[in-house]
Amino acid sequence: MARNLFFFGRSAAAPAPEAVVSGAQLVERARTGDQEAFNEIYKKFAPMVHGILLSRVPYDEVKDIVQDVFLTAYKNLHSLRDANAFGGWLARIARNQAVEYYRSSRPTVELADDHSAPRNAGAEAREALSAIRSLPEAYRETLVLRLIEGMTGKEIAEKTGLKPESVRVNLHRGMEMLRQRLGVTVTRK
Amino acid sequence: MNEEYLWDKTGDDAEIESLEAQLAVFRYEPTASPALAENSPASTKSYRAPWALGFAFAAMAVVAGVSLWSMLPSVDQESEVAVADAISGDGPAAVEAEPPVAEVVRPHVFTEMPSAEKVQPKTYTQAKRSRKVAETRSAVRVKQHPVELTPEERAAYDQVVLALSITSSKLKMVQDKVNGDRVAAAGGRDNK
Repeated sequence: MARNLFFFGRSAAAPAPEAVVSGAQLVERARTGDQEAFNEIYKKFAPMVHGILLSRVPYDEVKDIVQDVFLTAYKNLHSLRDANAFGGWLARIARNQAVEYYRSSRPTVELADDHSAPRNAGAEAREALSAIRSLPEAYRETLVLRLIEGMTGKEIAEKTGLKPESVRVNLHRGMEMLRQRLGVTVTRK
Repeated sequence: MNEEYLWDKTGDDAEIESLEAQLAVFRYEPTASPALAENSPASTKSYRAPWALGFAFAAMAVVAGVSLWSMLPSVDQESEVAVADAISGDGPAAVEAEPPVAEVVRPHVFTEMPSAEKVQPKTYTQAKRSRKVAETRSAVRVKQHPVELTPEERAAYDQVVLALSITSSKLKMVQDKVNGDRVAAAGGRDNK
């Protein structure tokens, strides 16, 4: 129930009406500058935004861009027509910010994975993340949200606004591709 | 591969669990949300509102001025001579004999600069006469130029009235919007 309280997606698995009202109310309150409501939204959606960005930009940059995404969303909340579609709208902002990151950043030499990962990340973890990032966009985003951020398929659908069927297919096909790529890597060793 | 574990974590799958454990180091670590005080869209709106209002008023004034200027008829030289003659007693006072016609009072607008001779009369008589002419001119003008407008003038007049009413209604909307935002902002603060 607590999970459904902040449901914003438009997927087929519709939540209870009162849950939708609560989510929309949070957005409406945030529109008036209510910091508390904004904090609640941030708390619930930051992992999703983090996962979407992690599947696209270097690990070191993700934290800053997460903040940028939420500030951009707040500044443009007036343009959101349907408060219940907040999750999908926010996910789209995150994807656009990732594109903007590569567009605005100066041409640089890409660092090795060692420099764009936490210090406690082992070689296998970095290898697995690289393999996920090499997958097609739809698969890598869904897999990062499932394997790294720890969301269930239903939660991914609810928060990103995707259909549950699409998420299920993306998870299945993405996982198969990931297994093949990790297997190939291991074989080469 | 256990599909159900991949979907909703029911059951178990050693391979996926191992991947999850490895990748957990990349997981999101809760951080404070950004402060909204310096990024309020409401503050941006309040900054722009006075400029919008000022611009709207200026635009309305320009439109009204240009329209009125183009609508006013030019000064009829013959009537001016008749007025001057009537005042000085040199000619017939035909002006007073005309039937009352003017219902619409138009503002007086100078269409040409006064000459130096008019500004600085040389004699007292000339100065007195000029003053009388000036005082009588506006009243006579109203009577001399009846409300019968040509089709072009009527069309121009209607357009000006329409433009003024549209501008007025838009200004009203802007004012209501500004007032509404202020009320909403005050309400938001009260909710806190």
